[in-house]
Formats: sequence, structure tokens, C-alpha cells
Amino acid sequence: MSDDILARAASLPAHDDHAHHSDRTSFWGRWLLSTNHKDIGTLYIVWAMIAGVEGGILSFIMRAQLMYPNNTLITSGQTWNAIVTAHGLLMIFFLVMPALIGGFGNWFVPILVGAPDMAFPRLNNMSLWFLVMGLIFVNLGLFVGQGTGIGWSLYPPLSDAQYQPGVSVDFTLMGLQLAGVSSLAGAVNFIATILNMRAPGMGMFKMPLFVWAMLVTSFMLIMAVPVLSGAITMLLMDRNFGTAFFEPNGGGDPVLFQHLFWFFGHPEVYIMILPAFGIMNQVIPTFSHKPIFGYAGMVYATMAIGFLGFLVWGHHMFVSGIGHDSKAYFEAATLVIAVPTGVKIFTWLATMWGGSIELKTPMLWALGFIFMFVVGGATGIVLANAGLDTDLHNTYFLVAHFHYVLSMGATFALFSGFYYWIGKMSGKPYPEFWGKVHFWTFFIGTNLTFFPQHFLGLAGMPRRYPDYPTAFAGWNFVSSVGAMVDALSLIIFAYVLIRIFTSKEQLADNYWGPGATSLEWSIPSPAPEHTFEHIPIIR
Amino acid sequence: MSIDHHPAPAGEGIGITETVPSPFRPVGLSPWPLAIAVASMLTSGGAIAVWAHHGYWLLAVGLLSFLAVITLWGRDVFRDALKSTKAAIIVGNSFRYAMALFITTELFLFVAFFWGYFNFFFFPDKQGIGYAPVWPPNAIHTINPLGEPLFATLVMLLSSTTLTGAFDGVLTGNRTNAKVGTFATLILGLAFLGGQIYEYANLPFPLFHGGIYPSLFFILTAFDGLHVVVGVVLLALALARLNDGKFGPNSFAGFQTIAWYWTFVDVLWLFLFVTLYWVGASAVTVS
Repeated sequence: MSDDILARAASLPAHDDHAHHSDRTSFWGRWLLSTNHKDIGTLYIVWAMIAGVEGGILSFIMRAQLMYPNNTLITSGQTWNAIVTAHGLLMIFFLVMPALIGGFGNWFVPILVGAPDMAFPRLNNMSLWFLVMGLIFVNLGLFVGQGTGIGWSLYPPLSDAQYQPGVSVDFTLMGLQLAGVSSLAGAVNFIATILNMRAPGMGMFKMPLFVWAMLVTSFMLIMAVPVLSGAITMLLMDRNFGTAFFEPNGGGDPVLFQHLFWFFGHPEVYIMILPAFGIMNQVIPTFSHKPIFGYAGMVYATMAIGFLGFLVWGHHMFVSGIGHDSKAYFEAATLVIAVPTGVKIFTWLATMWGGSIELKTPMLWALGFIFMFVVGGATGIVLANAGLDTDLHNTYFLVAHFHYVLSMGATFALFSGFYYWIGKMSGKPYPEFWGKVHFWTFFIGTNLTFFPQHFLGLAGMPRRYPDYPTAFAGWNFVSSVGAMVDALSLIIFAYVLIRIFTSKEQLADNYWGPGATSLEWSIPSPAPEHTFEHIPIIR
Repeated sequence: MSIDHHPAPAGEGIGITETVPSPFRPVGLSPWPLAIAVASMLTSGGAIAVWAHHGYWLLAVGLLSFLAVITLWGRDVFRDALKSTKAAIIVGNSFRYAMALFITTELFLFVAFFWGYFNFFFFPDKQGIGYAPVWPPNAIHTINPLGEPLFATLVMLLSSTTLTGAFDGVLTGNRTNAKVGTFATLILGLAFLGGQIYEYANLPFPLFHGGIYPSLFFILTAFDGLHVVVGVVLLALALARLNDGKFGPNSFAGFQTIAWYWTFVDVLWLFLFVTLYWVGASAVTVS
């Protein structure tokens, strides 16, 4: 394929006359109507930050309410559930996915494969704005009427019209449909770009591992998101058209929704974490000054996770009345995923082994990621046990587990990628000292918040309640103090942002030095508006 | 406090040997992506307004703006295609990937609906309160599969032969065959839709508020019909392009992807016919 491009390119006239045509565009033109993957990537990151701040405020409200027993900040269970729902949806669909896939993916996939832009630049901008419309709708679901109090998993019968009357849930579900279209269009774009627009000489097994991660993630989106869209369509029809898909009184089956949701939902967790793995694969070799240990193993491990991710959805339903044989299968299949994940962890460790490790801020976040992900992975193995899960499901042990892999796994990778690439994106250095302060405060804060929740869960504290017996008071207080440390950490991050954008310094092309070997380090910092209008030939 | 500067020459250790001019053209600013997102928001907001009994005006505005934007966007895409025929060969491959992936997303949308159907087909005891563990439910008399559904099946099967003939005409440069074949496919698509309208007008059960079987019947057939409508629109577009002298042995990506889509719709109906109408028929059926 790539060599075809080369052969064809030689026969084509150069298109330099089209180049830099948008240098003259206005502010609104550039940020509303863009077809430039870098501008669109920047917008994704900005919108993700907006959603992230909102989701963070919601979580802070929750921790404030849970700081003491019998607290009266939020007394309505419906309001509480609405906050829980919006926090989950915002963080998953509007922070982690847009930032990792839309933001860093848009910025660096075309550059890393030596392409001038994404395959479908207009579709790219469409993805972005569908995401923003989805964000607006999810906010309407939170603020209009009584709020959408159904959890991010949207289970009927709680989400039926009988228990959630009014338009709130309809807004939230429609918001997810719009976000789903955004994800699908983005995934099509990434796959077409990666398969069809690689620079000559860049075979599939020469691609940087971040690109591999984005490719597998995109395929997972293509197969997972439509199933959610179908389930949401059926749920909306149950609510508004009088159908009975999930309505037992009409012969329907609420467990069917759980199957459909988790057939999407489990791949979704890998959709969030694979790009994070991809960032690790760029950052760790850079700061170890060694190429990645076992490139091919990493590629196959990524594919294996992508494949196995579709076969394990039932482990979210151990207490939903599925049969014993199903439980045994889903438990065994889930444990198998630990194998490719372990391959990745040990590959990173082997990459660092004997390397000349430089503890710059991105590397700190990467090491933090590995630590957190291993802790979250270990509790994942506990929860994969159908017997133990009967006790632990819907307790704070689960909350701690998925916050360790997401709040701390995906988010740590997000910050790692941010510190790694912000110089390439803005051309300006970040303050190393404050970056490290940001890391350590966030590391301490998140651990303080979520580690005690393991104890709360083991003691039997259920999730999604605004209050608890006084027996749980101690660790809840510690957890809330951790949330305050996190808030402080994010203020430090805001200061880091100010320092970056007020800096007068100009970074070199490859400001990380010889450890950084992928294509983005061959272009100036900041990356010019158009890159690779002359496509590089990779040897 | 700040990052060290390692002055490394561009490309060192990265492996660029030389560069060639890119065959990919940059695309200028476009208002349509933002416009289609706003139109989609208006449309889905309009649906919510209808459900909340606030009337149909917002839905109408949304749908009209959606159609307008799609039309204008499509016009821009065609204009681009006229300007650079050589680059279109490469971009054509991107379109093929895009259509194949789009069809995959459609397939997985139907995975959700068929999952719902098979959930009860294979496990009729999963039906809710007061339902005997039989499928289809006792109260339901399904449509005779050898009536209208068989007609629709034959129409769809025939349409795949006419479309294959049309595509052969495109590949061999026989424009008359291409046009006649596409037109015949279009007519067969309309005939299928006519049959579905007839079927909906003569249903032996209420579509809504009728329990689980009508719900599944509706979502499967309605979404299948919706995809046939999209397929017919694409075929009309292909016919218009053929009349404009487009598509030939060297530029057929557009036609090919439309043919793929129609084939998907075709296979989808066959699967639906076998599982829903034929194997899933009740002991006593209604024509």
C-alpha cells in the first residue's frame, strides 16, 4: 500500500499552490470550521478539559457530601444519582476518550505515520462537533427537570419512564447517541488514515506503537459503539413509543439491556486504556534511552486485548442471574486478559531495565501509571472471581478498582502524554519543577482518595448512596481529604498551564534528545500548521 | 525549571531518507461539519420535544436543516472530486475503507437488535411476567412468510443481479448497461419499500403497546426499511452521476462502495427473512 502511494505520488503534480491557504483564516474560521488535524486535536483537548473540570467538580461535591456521616449537602437520592451519572459519563465519554483518542490521536497519528492530515478532514471536524453537542445534551440531562439518576450503565427498569419520568433521561441518552456518532466517525477516520496514508517505507510493523494502539482502539470502537447505540435506541423506544424490550410487564427482559450494555461497556474500558498504553510505549523508551523491548510482542498483546475484550462482558453481570456455566466461562475468559496485559507491563519493565532512565515529568507520570494500573489490575483479578464478586459487586471495592485503572490509569497516561507532547504542540517548555509537584500531589491525592475505598468496600459499604452508617466514617473522611489534595493538584496544573503559555522560550525540534525517535521529533516545535506536505520516505 | 535543549538534527535516528510531494491535497475550511452537528442536535432535541408533547416544529426544523446540510456538503465533495482525478485514485481507497467500516458499524447496530430477538427466540423463558415460555408468544399470529415477505425476498435477490450487471457495465465501460442496471435496481428497491408499506398497513398485531414480539418486529423491520431507503437514495445518486458521465473503468470507487452498501442491505433482509419471518413463524400465520 505505502509503496503504491510513492509510485503514484511521483506521477502527480505538487500541491504547494494549495498550501498555507488557511494562514489568512479568521479566529472563528480556524476554531469552528477547521479541517486541520492539529487544530481539531487542540479543540478536543480543550473540550476534554472543560468536561473534565465539570466532572471533577461533581466528584468534589460527592466527596464533600461523604466526608461526614449524616451530611446534608445533598439530601435527595435522585440528585445524588444524577451527580453520579453525570460524573461517570463526563469522565468517560467527554474527558478520557476525547483527550486520548480525539486529542492526542488527532495530533499525532497523522504525524507519526508521515501523513499531511487525516484521511477525511471534514469528517474529523464533524466528530469534534458531535462530541460537543453530546456534551451539551448530557448537561441538559443533568440540569433540566429532576436530572438523570440512572448511573452511567443506564440500567432499566430504573431508566424506564415509570421511574425516571420527564425529559432528563431522554437528553442524556440522546447525548450518548451523538457522542457515539462522534466516536464512530473518528474511528473510521483513524483506520483509513493508518491503513491508507502511511508514508512510503513505513510498513505496519514499523509504525510507532501509539499508532498501533489507536488502530486497535478504532476497530474496537467500530464494533462496540453501535451495540450501545442499538441498546439506547431500544431504551428510548421503551420510554417513548410503548415498546417492551426491557419491560417485564410486556414480556421484555431487563437483563437483555445489561448484556447489550456490557457488550459495549467492557470493550469500552479497553478503548479508554489502549491509547494510554500507546502513550506509555512512546514515553518509556524515550526516557529510558532504549528502544521498546519486544515491539512485536507489544503489537500482538494489543491485538489480543482488543479481541479478548469482546468475550468477557458477562463478568459485569455475575449477580444478574446468569447461569453457573456462564459465570465459570466469563471468570476464566476474564483472567486470560491478564496475560497480554502482563506482557505489556513486563515489556515496559524490560524496556527500563538497564536503560539510562531520566526522571522527567512525563516519565514520572508513566511510572505512576504503571504502579496504579498494576494495583487496579490486581483488584480486577479479585473482582473477576464470580464468588468474591457476589460479595464485592456494587461496593466501594469496585469503585476503588475502576478508579485505579481509569482515574489513575488513564488520567496518569493523559498527563504523561500532555507533558511529553505539549512542547511539540505549543513550542514552549513546561516548568519541570511544577510539573513534578503536580505529579506528586496528584499521586498522593488519588491514592489517598481511592485506596481507603478498598477497605470501605470490603467492609460492605455500597456505592451510589449519599450517606452511610457512622462505622464507615473514618475512611470516608480520609478519602475526602484525598479529594482536597487532588483539587489542590489541579490548581497546580492550572498554574503549569499558565507558565507554559506565558513562556517566552522556544523549544528545539527534538527537545527530548536521542531517546525520542518517532517522526514528530523531526518537525519543528511548535509543529507548523501543515506538516509532511512532502511525505517522508522511511528507510 | 525548564526542559533541557538537546540540539538534535532533524530526522536523525528517525529514518527519513528523502521526501516526495504528497499526493494528498489539504482541504479548506468547511462550514458543513459544524452545521451537520447543529442540525443533528436540533433533530434529536426535536424528537425529545415531540416525546414531551411540545409539538413537531423543532423536529421539522432539525430534519430540514439536516437534509439541506447533507446536500450542500455532498455538492462540495463532488466539486473536489472534479478538480483532481489522479489524487482521487488514492482517496478512493480511503473511501473504500470508510464504506467497509461504515457497513461494519451498521452490522453491529443490527447485532444489538438481533441479539434482542435471539434472546427470546432461543430462551423464550426470558419473557417477562405472565408469558408462557414459547416463541413467538401465544397471543401472536405472525405474517405468512410465503406471502409478502417472499415477494420482498425475491425482489431483493433480483436487485443484486441487476446491480451486479450495472457494476459490470461500469467496469467494462458499457455506460448503457450501467445505467439500465442501476435504474432497475432502484426500481426494485422501491418495489421492496412498497411491499413493506403494504405489510405495515395489514399487520395482524399492533406495532406499539403490543408487547415484546411487536417491539422486536418493529425495530428489525423498521431499521431494515430505513437502510433500504438510504440505499435507494445512494442508487439515485449513482444514477445521477452516471448520467453526468462519471464512473468508468478507472474511477469506480463511488459506485463500488454504493454497491457494497446495497449488498449489505440485501444480505440483511435475507437474514431477517429467514430468522424473523420463516423460522420464527407461529403455527398459524396470517397472510
